[in-house]
Amino acid sequence: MCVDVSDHRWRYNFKMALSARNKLSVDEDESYWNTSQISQSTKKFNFDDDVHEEWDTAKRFSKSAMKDLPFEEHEDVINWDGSATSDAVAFKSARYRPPAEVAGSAPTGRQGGDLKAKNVLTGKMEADTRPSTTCITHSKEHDRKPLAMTHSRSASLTLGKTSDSDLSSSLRNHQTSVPNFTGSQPGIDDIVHHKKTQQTATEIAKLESEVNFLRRAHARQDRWTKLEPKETVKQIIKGEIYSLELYKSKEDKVAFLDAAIESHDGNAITAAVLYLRNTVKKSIFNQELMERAVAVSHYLQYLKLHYDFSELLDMLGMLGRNEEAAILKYKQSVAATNPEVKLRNLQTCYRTHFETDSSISHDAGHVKQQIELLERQLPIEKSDKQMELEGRTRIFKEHPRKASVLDTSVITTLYYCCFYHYDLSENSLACPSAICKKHGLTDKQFMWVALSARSRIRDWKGIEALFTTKNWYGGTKMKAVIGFEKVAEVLHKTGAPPDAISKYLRLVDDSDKKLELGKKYKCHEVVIDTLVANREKGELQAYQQKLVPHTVEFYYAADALRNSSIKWKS
Amino acid sequence: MVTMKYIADHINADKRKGVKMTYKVLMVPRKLYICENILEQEGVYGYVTIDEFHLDLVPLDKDILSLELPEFFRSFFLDGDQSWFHTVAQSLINIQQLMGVIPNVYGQGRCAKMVHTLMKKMLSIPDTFDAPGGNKYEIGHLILIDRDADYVTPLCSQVTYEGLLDDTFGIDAGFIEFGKDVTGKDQTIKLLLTSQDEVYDAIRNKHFSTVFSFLSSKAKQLQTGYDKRHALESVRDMKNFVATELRDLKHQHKSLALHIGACEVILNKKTKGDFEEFLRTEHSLLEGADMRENINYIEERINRQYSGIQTLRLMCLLSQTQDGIASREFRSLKTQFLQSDGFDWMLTFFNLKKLGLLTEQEQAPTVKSLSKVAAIAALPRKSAFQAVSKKLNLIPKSIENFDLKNPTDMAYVFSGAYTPLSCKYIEQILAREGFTGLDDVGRVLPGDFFSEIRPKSQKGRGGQSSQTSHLEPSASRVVLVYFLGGCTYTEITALRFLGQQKGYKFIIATTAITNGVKLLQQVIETPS
Repeated sequence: MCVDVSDHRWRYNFKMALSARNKLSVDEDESYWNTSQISQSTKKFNFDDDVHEEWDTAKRFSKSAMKDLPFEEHEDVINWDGSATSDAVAFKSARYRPPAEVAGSAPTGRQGGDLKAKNVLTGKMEADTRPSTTCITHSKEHDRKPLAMTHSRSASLTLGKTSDSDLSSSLRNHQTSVPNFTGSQPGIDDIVHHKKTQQTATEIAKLESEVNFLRRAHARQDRWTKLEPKETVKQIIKGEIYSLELYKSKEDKVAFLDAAIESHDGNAITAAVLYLRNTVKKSIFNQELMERAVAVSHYLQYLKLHYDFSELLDMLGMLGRNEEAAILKYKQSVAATNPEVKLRNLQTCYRTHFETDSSISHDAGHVKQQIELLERQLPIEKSDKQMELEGRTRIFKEHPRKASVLDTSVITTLYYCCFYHYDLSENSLACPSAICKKHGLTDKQFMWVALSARSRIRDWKGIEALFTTKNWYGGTKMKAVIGFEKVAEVLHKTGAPPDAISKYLRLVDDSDKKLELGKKYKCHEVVIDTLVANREKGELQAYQQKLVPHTVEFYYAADALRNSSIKWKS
Repeated sequence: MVTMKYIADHINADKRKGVKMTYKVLMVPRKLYICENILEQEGVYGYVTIDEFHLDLVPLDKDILSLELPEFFRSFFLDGDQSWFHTVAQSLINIQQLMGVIPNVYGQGRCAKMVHTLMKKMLSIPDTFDAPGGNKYEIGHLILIDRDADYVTPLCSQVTYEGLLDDTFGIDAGFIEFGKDVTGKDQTIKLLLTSQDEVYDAIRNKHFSTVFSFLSSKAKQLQTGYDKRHALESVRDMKNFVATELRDLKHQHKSLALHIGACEVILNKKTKGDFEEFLRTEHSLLEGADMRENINYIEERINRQYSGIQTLRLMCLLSQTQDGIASREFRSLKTQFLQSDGFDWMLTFFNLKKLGLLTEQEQAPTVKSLSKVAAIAALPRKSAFQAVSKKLNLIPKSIENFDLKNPTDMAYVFSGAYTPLSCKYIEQILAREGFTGLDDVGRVLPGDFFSEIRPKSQKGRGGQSSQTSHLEPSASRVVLVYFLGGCTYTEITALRFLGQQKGYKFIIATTAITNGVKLLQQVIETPS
């Protein structure tokens, strides 16, 4: 690249900066200085490369830079530098020059920038006028000390470190956004270089405060430019202030949503979804939402957290997620603490959501069971409470109720009924076997519950009846679906005495198991008998040693050992 | 969000009372759009200033970093909410800010992928990150792994000492609270469990069965330490002893007493219940053997109204190892469970189904028409888990000769019955430096896998550490494993063991430390 040309261009840029100084933020001037100095000292101003490298950031800021040049203030420009008049005019026209012409002299990359800038200008005229107010107040200060402002080397250095890279690049962008200008004004840069050593600390401080002010102003100005959706998402990720108001067209909103989804930041996604919801009509919102599964889940999550259940139900219905809707409705129904209300809720819920949908028939069955259970519990509770209060029934006196039966599970209800209402006839509500029938409980389920309930109440006869089955010939046979070793275990756990346990322990087939459990539950007779059956003299002797002398089992063991009819092993 | 509403209500109440104040709201971990929205809607936005408090990894020990965010699991895996990703990505950036950009990244799962993308995006934003010194790095590999890649491991009962402590007492952010049963005193003791506790450090990674013998030998050792005092001859010796050793001994004595107490409680609890049978069932589920027996056992537990959540854990394990439970069994188990523990559990079942933790097998129409016998005969088809398990050789061939005292294989953390899938997978990834040859495993696990490896030529060793000291493992042997959705103490133990065996230094980062029960508790839904 020709150094001369670039130098011209540079000069032009500088001039532009000067001419536009009143409107531009000082801050930007500063950064401009910064960059131009650096580029001068380091390289021979490899301008084009610069542009290409910084193209992305530049693109974004071409807009903000352009609108920093409001039309009203062109008079100033003329005052400052005679030739600038033409500059300003030309500049104005440069902005509006058809892109084809620009392309003639500018690197291809810039063209897009111009186009973009123009779009912004034409599209957002009203936005352009606004920021100038802040700039005008500022320009007064400029007039007081014309040149010194921009010449601080030290200030620009500190700035270079602290300032947003945004700002410096926005200045660079000035170079790109007004490209094909070659009006040269020698001497200005000389003056500038000359003066830059004269700086005082107060001035620096002043400058810095000004910079800060303008940086804030700049942030405010951002609000009036439409940023690329990606940039806004980045702002959200960084936790900066951002604005969505400028995404007016549906395409923009959707693009923003997509950018948010692509970023995988949940917060941005929710923001985008809600912005879309609040600004477009429902049918469009739904349509766009449906196409994006991630957006859907964030929206649902939002509704859930917002306790907006009716909307949530609608959404689920629309999405065809009937099961989820039904479950949600169910959740609301069972949240009621009053059992009667709960019952009513469940009935409605069952009718509206479960009954009709065959795909969730399995759960529908459960809801139905729950309804039936509540219908059964309510009268039981009522009458039992009455009986307990009257205090005439023996069982309630001996075993006062620990808790209400309401709202307990099927098995717990069954246990309750096995405990208090074991002998009722089948057409009574509280009859255990009626519960079994209604809820389709298995024999095992019934057995576990009945066994432990009756054992607690010390109803040994009732327990025996549980296992007794009559065979064809009228004889009886003992049988337990859960196996007798488990029966023994339950009895032990419910605090049955060894005698009661022994009876069933004897029915365990496996003799090793029998022995082990017998020792564990202290059913001494069973142990002794088993040992005798196994003809284990040594073990029996050892066992006898552990027994307390002069007890029944001690003598029982002694008898067995003395018995001469037993043929002991070895 | 509810909190936001409360804040807003609070402010509004103050305003009605005529109290004029400005408010500062501190949002953890960062301000969210919806929160600001609520403040705006409630008309109090003008009265508050909002600040953020960023959450970051909390070092729980020298090799464990945790975000302590158990809700992460539910939020993403169940609700598909990606709001926490930012925090995770930020935590990764913070690590890299200190340790340099990690050159090799491997990931497994959807969440891993998205976190990685977000992290890269955040790194690309100017001003958020400046890497210390170019290519230097102190951590060579980063492995991101989703919890849903391996549900089996957290669902198993833990049998290492640390794991058992967590299962029995619950370790919360590195702290454990021992009740009366352990301390023998009235007040509870809160203890910080880290490697600084010498006794604990020695036993934490041990299989529980070997802990007792260690503790007793330790007790003897302490006794000899105390006995030294009889042999003290000069005042100087005495001074020395009191100043240095005694303190140390006292300290060890105290922690020894606590750990012995804890062991006893664990032992008592486990023998009282049917822990043995529970474990046996777990192991046969992992092997995929004796299905009928396993289901019967689960059924018995349900019928006897044993702890619902433990039973649920077994059911999930059954479902995980079998690709869902066969329809007939699933329905019968579910109905019985609901009948035993209340119909409200339907909500939880739904969540579990949504997560894929506990599912019903799709009924193939052909199987349906066949008789029951034929259906069972068709079952031995291998499930995904079994395929992976075979491929990665997760289940050691013989349990009998397994030496739990001087283990040679990671499987010791599960009594030699099973090697944690996640850890084995990590081992393989590191050994192959990527997923080559692991494709068929990665494909079976949910979500994608990816790797991003910086070409070897650029590899700058972390500083000159490899040259200056040979004791420190060089940077390329340092591995950061990030569990998204939580990891268990057993997995940490297994990785520590792997590190010793293969010469890696593992740093484990996680969103939270979890176990089977904690995992399920996250998903359990109760009517509000």
